[in-house]
Amino acid sequence: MTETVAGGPKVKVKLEDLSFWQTLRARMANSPEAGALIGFAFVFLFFAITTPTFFTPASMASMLTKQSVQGIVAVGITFLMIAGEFDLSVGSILGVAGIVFGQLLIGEGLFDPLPIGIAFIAALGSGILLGLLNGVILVLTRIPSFIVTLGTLLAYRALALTATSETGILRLPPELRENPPLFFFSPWVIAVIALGLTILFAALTFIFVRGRIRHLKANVLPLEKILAGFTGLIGGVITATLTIVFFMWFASIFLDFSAVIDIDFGNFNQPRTLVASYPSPEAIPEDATTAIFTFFSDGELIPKDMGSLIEVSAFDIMNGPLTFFRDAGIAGNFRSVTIWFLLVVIAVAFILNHTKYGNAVFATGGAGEAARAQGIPVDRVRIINFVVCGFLAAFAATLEFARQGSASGDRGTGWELEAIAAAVIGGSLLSGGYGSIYGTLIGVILAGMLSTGLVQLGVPAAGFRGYIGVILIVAVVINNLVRRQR
Amino acid sequence: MSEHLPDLPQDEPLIYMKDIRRQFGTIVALDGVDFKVWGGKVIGLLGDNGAGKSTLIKVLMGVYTPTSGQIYWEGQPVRINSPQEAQNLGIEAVYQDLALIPLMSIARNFYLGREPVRRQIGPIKILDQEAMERQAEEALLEIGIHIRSPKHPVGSLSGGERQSVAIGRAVYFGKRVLILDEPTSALSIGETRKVLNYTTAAAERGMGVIFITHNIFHVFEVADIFTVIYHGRKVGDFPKEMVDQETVAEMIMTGQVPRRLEKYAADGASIIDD
Ligand SMILES: Nc1ncnc2c1ncn2[C@@H]1O[C@H](COP(=O)(O)OP(=O)(O)OP(=O)(O)O)[C@@H](O)[C@H]1O
Ligand SMILES: [Mg+2]
Repeated sequence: MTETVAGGPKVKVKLEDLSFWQTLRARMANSPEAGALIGFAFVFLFFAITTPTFFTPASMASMLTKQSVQGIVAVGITFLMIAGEFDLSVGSILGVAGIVFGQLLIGEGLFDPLPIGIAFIAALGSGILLGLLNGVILVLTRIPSFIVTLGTLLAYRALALTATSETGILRLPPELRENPPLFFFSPWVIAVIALGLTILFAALTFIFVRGRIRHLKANVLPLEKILAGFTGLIGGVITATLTIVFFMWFASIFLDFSAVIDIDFGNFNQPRTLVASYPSPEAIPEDATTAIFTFFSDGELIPKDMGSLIEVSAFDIMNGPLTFFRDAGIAGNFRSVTIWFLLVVIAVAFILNHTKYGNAVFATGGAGEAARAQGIPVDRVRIINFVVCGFLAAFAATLEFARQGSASGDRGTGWELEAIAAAVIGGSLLSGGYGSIYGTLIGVILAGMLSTGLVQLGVPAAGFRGYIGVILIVAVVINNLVRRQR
Repeated sequence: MSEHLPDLPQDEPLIYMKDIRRQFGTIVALDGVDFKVWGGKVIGLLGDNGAGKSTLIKVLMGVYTPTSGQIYWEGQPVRINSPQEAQNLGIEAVYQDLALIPLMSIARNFYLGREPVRRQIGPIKILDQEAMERQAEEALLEIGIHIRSPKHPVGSLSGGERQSVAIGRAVYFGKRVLILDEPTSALSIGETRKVLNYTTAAAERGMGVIFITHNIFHVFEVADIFTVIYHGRKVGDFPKEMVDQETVAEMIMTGQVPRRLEKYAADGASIIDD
C-alpha cells in the first residue's frame, strides 16, 4: 500500500494567512469539548469566587466521589451515542448488577456467600448480558434503540425490583462490614507494580513532552505554539510528578523512612485502608523526599523486612478513601473510584481516537449505511458498544456497592438521563458520529460542580435537576455556535 | 444475418451475475438480470431513473443480498454477503448515495476499514494517524485531487470535492474491478475529464470497470460495451461500435431493441422493426 504512493509531492497546508482568532475558532470548531470547557471555566470561576467552601478539598472530594460513579455510566453512554445508539436502560442495568453483586456476597440463606472475585465477575457478567440483549434486539428487529431500551429500562427495572421484593434493601452483614474481603500482597508484588507505574509514567512524560516539542517546532502559528507550550508544560509537570510519586512509593517499600524522620503514619496498621499497611504511601512525596535527603546526609535508613504480607481490603480498592491525600494533609475524602473513573475515561478515549475500532464506531454513528457499504461490520459495532455500555453500568454498580455496602432495586433510577445530559454537554451529538469522552468527563464534573455549588450557595437542592436542564440547553446552544465557526 | 456482427468478448468474464432478482417488499427492483464484467473493459451500465442500476451493483457489492440468482467470480460461484467480502475480491465501488461520512476527517474516511496499524496489542489495533494523513493526501494528489488538509472533516468539502475523494479512494484500493455509480454528477468539466481518464486507465491496466451515468456523452467516451436495463430487466449488451448515442438513448427510454441489434438483445426483450 505504501509503496504505490511513495514519492508523491507533499502539499503543505497553508495556514499562515489565518489570524490568531481564526485559528482559535477553527480549533474550537474541531473539538467537541470546546463548549463544555468554556462552560466549565465559567461555572468553576463563578462558584470559586462566590462560595468560599466551594473549592476546598472536602467539597471537591465529595463531588468527585458521586460524579465518578455516574461518570463511568456516562462514558458508556457516550461510547454508544457516538455509534449512533441510545441506552436508556443503563440505570436499570446498574440496579440489576448491584443486586447480583450484593446477593452473591451476602448469600442470605439461599446459598453460602461467594468470594468477592466471583460476585464481581458475575455482576459484570450480568451487565454484559443485559447489554448484549439490548444490542441483539436492536439488530434483529431494527427498531430504534430509543424504543428498544425504553422497553428494557422497564423490564430490567422490574427484574431488579422483583428480585428484592422480599428482601428489600440488600445490606452487607456486620461481619462482612467489619472484616471485608482482604487481598494479601507480597511486598515484592507491590514493588513490581510501583516500579511498573514509575516506568510507565516516565515513558509517558518523555513521549508527551517530545510530542509537544515537535508540535512547537512544526507550527508557525503563534496560537498553536502557545497551546503546544502550555499543554506541554502542564502535561509534563503532571506526568513527571506522578513519576516521582510512584518512584517514592517504590522506594518506600524497601526502606523504612519513618526510622529516619519522625513521621506520623496514621492508620499504618489498619486493614481497611488502601495500600496502607506496608508501603506507606502517606510518606509520599514530601516525607519520602525529606527521608531520602536525610539518608544522604545521615546515612541511617533502615531497610524494611520484606517478609510480611500487605493486606488491602477489596472494597477499598474499589471505592475506598485514598488515605494518601488525607494523610498528606489534604482534608477531605477522595476515593479510589475517581481513579477508576479516570482510567475508564483514558481507556475508552484511547480506543475511540487511536484505534481501528474507534474509527469504525465514529463511522457507524456518522452514516451507518455508508459505513456498511465501506465494509464496516456496523451491526457488530453496535452490539459491542451496547455490551461495553452494559459492562460499564455494572462496573459502576459494584463500585457504588463497595462504598455504600448496600444495594436496592431502585438504584440508578434516572441515571440514564443524567448520563445523556453529561454526554451532550460534553459536545457529543445525539444523532451520533461525533463526540468526545473527555467532553463527557468535563460534562460530568460540570454537573457535579453545579449541584455542589448551588447547594453551598443556599439554593434549594430540589431545584438541582432544573439547573442541569438549563445548562444542558445552554451547552448545546454554545456547542452549535462554536461548531458553526467551522 | 448477412452482415458480420462483432461478438461480445469470448473470454471468461471476471464477474458473471446470473439471473439476479431482488425485491423490496412488493417492488421488483431487479427481475432476472444477467450481467457480465470483463477484465480490461469498461461496461457502461445504463437505464432510466429507477431502472435498477444501483440495486444491481449493491447486490454485487454485498450491500443487498439478492432474492435469487448466482454470482460467479472468475467462473467460480461465490456468495458475497458483505461489502468487505467484495473488497477482499478486489472490487471497489463509488456509490451514488453512500459515499463518505461527513463528520469524519478526509484521512479517516479514505482509510475507513483498512487503516494502517502502527502496533497491535491483543485485539487492539492502534492507528498510524500520521501515515494515514500523509498517505491519504499523497494518494489523492497522485491521481490529481488536491485537498486543503487531510484533517478536515468531509462535511466541510463541496459536493464535487467529496465525490473526488470517494473516487480517489476507490481508484487507490481497487485491484480488480472498479464500480462508479454516477461519479461525475457533481464534478466540473476539468474534474470530469480526470475521472474519465482514470476510468480508461484502469481498464488499460486490466481492471474491469462498471460505469453508471445518465450522461450519454461521457459514457460514449469511455465504455466498450453498453448494458441497458429497463424496469429491472435487461435489454441487452451492446458493443460500442454497433450503436450510436441516439439508439442507446432510445433503448434506455423504451426498452425496445431495433431488429438489427437483435443478436445482442436479452432473452425476452421486445424487438421492434426500425
Ligand atoms: N432500499 C430500497 N427499498 C425499497 N425500494 C428500493 C430500495 N432501493 C431501491 N429501491 C427501488 O428499486 C428500484 C430501482 O432502484 P435503483 O436505485 O436501483 O435505480 P437506479 O437505476 O439506480 O436509478 P437512478 O438512475 O435514479 O439512480 C426503484 O424503483 C427503487 O424505488
Ligand atoms: Mg442509482
